Amino acid sequence: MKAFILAKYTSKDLFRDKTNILWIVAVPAGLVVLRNLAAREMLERAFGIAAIVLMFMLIIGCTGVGLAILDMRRSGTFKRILIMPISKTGYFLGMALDLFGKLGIMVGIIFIMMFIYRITIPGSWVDLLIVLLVAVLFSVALGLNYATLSKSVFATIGLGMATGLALFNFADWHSGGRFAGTGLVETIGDHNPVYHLLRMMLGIIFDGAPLGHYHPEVITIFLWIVGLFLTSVALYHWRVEKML
Amino acid sequence: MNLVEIRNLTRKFGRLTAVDNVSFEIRKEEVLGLLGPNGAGKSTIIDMIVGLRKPTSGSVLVYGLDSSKNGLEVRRRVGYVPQQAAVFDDLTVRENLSLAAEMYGISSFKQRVAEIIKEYDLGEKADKLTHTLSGGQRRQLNFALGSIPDSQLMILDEPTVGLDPTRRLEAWEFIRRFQEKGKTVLLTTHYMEEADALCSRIVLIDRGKIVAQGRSEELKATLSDELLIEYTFAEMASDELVERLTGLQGVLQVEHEGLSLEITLKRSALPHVQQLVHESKLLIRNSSQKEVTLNGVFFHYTGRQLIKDKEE
Repeated sequence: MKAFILAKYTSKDLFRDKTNILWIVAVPAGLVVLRNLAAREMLERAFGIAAIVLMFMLIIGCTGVGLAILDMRRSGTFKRILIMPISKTGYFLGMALDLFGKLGIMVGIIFIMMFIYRITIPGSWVDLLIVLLVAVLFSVALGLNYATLSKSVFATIGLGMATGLALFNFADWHSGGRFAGTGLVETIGDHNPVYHLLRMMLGIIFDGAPLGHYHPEVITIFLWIVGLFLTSVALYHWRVEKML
Repeated sequence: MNLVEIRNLTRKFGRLTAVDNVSFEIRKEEVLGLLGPNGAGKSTIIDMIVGLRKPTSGSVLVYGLDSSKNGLEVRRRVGYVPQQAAVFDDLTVRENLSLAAEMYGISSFKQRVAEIIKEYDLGEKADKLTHTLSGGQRRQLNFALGSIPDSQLMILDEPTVGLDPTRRLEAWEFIRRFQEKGKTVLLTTHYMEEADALCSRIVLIDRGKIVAQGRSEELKATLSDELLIEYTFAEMASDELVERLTGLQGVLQVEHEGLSLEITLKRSALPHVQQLVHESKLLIRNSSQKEVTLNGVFFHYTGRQLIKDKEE
């Protein structure tokens, strides 16, 4: 309950600052329009690409989570909140809810635009929505890890870059090399959640594959999300005294 | 009746002992000053009182509850004013207060927020974003946020640090208001003048250890044979004079700043000091003799000075 109260107030800035709205609407809309005009692609394809790019942006946006918590620590509001009667876990959940809401809005805008343009895709809308929300969940879980580990702005950006590099290093983009054979690279790729999320998204948008088709990959991503949340909770409880 | 009882409290960070076997209590309706320099361990003690940090050993009982096990319940019953005006800049004054009121589970929170806005004279700014507030108004909001739960126990963690004298006096007014309402206040500070003016009892702390505790007058009375003399000369005193004064038996401390010289000494050393100053042939513009201050008490026990008020 306290987590909802915290999220209710911390997310108020989203619609208050006009530049936030501009970015949230302008980025997805701009992507779609530009792709469509420049490449003269089908609108469906443009939206598909926008959705994929959005997922990349979500992963990069995780650093923002780290920076937001860092800002709260520096302004003293972090301690102010913790000294109120809210449990450490409650605070953590509140931040997760706030982030999920903010990132979820971006996904919502993509869907609203798809509805307005009466876009059809071969796959199911519901499946696509589920995959995008799972992507948001994954990025929130990753972002909370950044938040507990970040000690400075540059450390947060560094963390984002390091994990971003690892997560966008897909098996399909490598042919193996002198030090690592194709088998090893593919094995790593098999466990990369972003790779699987993208595969699922592309499958739904372009091939009409149902979500059930990706059953083992869904389990991999689910395990990643659970693992990341558990790690972030453990890190948070371990580090919260240092964060005061 | 004791609202807070701290017994043999120790907190270590690796090899550093931040709080070392500290014991004291906070009695109902008193203003207890925790006075010590930066890094003395004051904030760590507060964190342990409200259950945000676990003690390495020892115990803290707040309203009879062990705060390391019942932190949430303790925090529900404590008002807190931090050092910096920690407010959410993207929220309005009313929203900041509402957030706090809802977090404390106040059912009629809108009414409570309206009362606090009136009490702290924040009406004109109530619906403005807090980043538009002046420094003084932010400070008001900081105290207002601490008042939201209307707790019997108020913890003020260096609420006046870095304020100019006018703002400090304003903050003192807020603290006196708590006193008038019969609240129990724990005030941490490194301003001896503040502790002297506001606190009914004082705990002197240095490097994590309590060096003395009692009423201000009691602490000073323990050093009743000590004096503080301040000279203002027409020209700068020589280093040689300062050295000779420092070397005199019974002279405890010599502070030389600009044209003034501040000497803490045993009463028995007074004639020798006066003799040396006379021999220096410096023209004395002004001289005053004071009883020992809390700063002197702190120096007596630790051999170190608290930060001097005039430096701030």
